[in-house]
Amino acid sequence: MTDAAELVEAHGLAFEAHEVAENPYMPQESSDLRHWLCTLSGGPVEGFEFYLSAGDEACPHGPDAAFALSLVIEDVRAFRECGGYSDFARLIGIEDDDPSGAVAWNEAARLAPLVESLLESAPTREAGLA
Amino acid sequence: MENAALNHTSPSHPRPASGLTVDLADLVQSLISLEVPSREIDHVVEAMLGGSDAHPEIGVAPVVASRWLADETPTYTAGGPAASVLARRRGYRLTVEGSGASWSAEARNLRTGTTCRAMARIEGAAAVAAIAGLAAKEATT
Repeated sequence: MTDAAELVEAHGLAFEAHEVAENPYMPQESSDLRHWLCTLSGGPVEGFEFYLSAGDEACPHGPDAAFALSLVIEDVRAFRECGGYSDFARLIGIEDDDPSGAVAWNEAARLAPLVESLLESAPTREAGLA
Repeated sequence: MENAALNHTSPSHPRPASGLTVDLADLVQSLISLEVPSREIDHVVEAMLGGSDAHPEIGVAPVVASRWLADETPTYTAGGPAASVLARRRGYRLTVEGSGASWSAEARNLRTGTTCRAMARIEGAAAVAAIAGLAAKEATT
């Protein structure tokens, strides 16, 4: 796995998570999840914001930096695997013409280069998306 | 991908006279033994995990039915996006790492935090084995 904890330590990333009512980029029903607006700062990223959603059992005390970063890395990897928007819609489980898909697509496209710059500049390991 | 033929035949389809069934542990065992992608195993994955509900155990009928729409069965064991789609349909996130003939994957349920890790010789097999293993864990709890 891409070691998110190692990346956090290597870059000296500072992390904040504020619980919010919803994840605006999550088109699926998610009322049984908790949502956080997370911010990572340090190294090659400054004020890198993203939303994270998880169940209470998975994240009872709120997310930490490594957990949050591991999820956003996975999201970007899955996004990059998509051959186009239709693949992305299938990935997130919506129809092609669902307007919420474009919102999620744009957010993934915004996050991808930020996450990749973080991975590529990892000072202590050969970086790359898993 | 939804498979109408499977939805008609499972989970209440009659078992074959031989009583031959496959469970998720069998599927994981098959996956971690794969050395090359297998369309046969892809059909079993589709029958057990491809629908909205996982089927912890199936007979041969759903697998045969899935072959009627063989072109619609994703190439799960070939690696790539099919496994990620399969994971997300179950509410899981998947991380995969490796190269050559050594691949490791971890599936994590974002609601419960339960995880399952699997290793295999090919990327797609490791990924799907982690998903199937996590589905098996959840089926027993």
